[in-house]
Amino acid sequence: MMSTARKLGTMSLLSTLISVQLRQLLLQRKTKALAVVQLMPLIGAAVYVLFENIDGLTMFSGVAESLLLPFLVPLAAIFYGGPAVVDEMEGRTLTYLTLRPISKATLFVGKVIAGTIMALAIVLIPMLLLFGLCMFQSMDFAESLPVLGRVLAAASCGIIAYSAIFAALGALFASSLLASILYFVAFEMVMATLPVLELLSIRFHLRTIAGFTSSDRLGFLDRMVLDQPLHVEWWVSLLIIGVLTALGIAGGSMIFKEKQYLV
Amino acid sequence: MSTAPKKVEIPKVGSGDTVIAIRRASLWYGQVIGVNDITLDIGHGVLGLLGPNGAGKSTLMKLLTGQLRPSTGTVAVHGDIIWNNPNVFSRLGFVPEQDAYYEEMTGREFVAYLTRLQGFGKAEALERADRAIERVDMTKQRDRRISEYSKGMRQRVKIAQALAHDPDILLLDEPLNGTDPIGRRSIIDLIGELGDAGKTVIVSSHILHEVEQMTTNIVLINKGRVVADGNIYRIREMIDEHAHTIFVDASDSRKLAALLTPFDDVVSIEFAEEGIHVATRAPDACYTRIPKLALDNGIEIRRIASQDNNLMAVFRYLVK
Repeated sequence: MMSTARKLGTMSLLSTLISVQLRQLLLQRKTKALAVVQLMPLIGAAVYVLFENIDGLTMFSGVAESLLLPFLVPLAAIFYGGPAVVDEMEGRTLTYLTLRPISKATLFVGKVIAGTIMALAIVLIPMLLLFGLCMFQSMDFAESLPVLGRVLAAASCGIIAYSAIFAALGALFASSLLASILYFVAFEMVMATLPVLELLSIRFHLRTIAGFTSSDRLGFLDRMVLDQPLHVEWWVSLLIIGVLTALGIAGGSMIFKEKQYLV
Repeated sequence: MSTAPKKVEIPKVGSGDTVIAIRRASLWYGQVIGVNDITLDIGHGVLGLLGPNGAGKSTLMKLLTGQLRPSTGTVAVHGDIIWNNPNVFSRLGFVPEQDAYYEEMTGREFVAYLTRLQGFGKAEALERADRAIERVDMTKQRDRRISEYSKGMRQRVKIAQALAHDPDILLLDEPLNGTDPIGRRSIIDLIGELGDAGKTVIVSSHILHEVEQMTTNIVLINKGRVVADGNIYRIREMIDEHAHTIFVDASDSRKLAALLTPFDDVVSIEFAEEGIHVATRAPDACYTRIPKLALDNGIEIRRIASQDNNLMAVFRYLVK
């Protein structure tokens, strides 16, 4: 009979949780469905790049600005961040996890990390493929790399922040989809258009990190309040995203630890 | 003149040291009370937690496993408060009532995953999972997906996940639900073995007949309160005054009814849409007799289940 010491340390249990969760997520039907959605821009871009004489870098930036950051990034977080713990509640399997020698806060963090890794993979891989396709057309690789770096950073920041916030909302309301959508509409669609208040939206900061021009993002509402569109440095946006993520993780962990779920 | 405070005697079930200590524990769901001021010490051995549906058994189980926090009072395991105390769970196994699984996993993966989360390495978790699955007679089916399992198989794999890390304390919420007679027998035997091994095993059920095959220690609960605790024979004496109703779904209900009618202990037989309700004063004999009669006379038994009417009668008697 094999007999090894039990490793009840937080990091050991956390890594087990994450690795198994990743495998589970990979096999889920929703992953296949979301992969198809995330690959759609690639198909659309392929048509334009191959049959129209469009600059590849412009195409990549355009897709990132109008589709990737405002929609595909939050969509992935809605799929994996919000349901991180809610799926266990709705599937009534939460009992099995909360009765393991692992703190509820660690469980929450582990589930969010696994969901975030999955979301990153499902967004960033098609994005890299899209970039490769655009470069195939433009061949201006050296000039395009910084753009790719900024967009990758912005998308990653967005996925991490959205996932943390949606997971916290899921822990609070024991239902992720409605809460995430309401948050998205209120903060990312309405507030993102309002001068100054837009600083509270993740979308604003993702655009800043990605290096998209501020004049495009606001329009007349901004100019009614300020002489010129609000501009913050990329590192300020990165800091704010970091704070929002930390608040999401800390708040979600606290809620998940203290709240009683009737499974 | 000074008066010493009156010492309140705490009821205790089970043998040896106190493993689980419940002190004035109550739990409200808003305005509804789920558990009402329970104080109890639980020692080693098998304890049957009995009560009709909705009596508060599952709520009490959730308090004992730290899934819910008592609104007032405490629940401690080996002296440690269980709420938000994950260290306790390395020594505790739980079989929840709900039919919930990671459906896409095989039985083996399911048990191994949850065993890995008990701190075991991958290889040892697999080995422990295999042993636990073997204990519940599921070895042949272990590599099939859980979504393909029958109700009884699902129940058994749920028990395996609670056993694999060899806990000192086991709580099983309605573990015999959905099991066939053979599966039921093997689970009852397994629970007996665990109790004999000195573990603390708490089994909830609404069927007295099932529980009395596992233990003589019981706690009767109704409307969130403990209405009786102690030896099952005392309760049994009360229950013998009332007929025990067994529901049987058979391929030929009329023939089976005719075969049962001559027995003296059979008080009445009522025909229902899907089977017959047999009221008997000797349930043990009747449970043995029905499958035998069916087998001897070529009748297929699709379902045999105890009704809790008799238990309700005892509760009515106790809460009067």
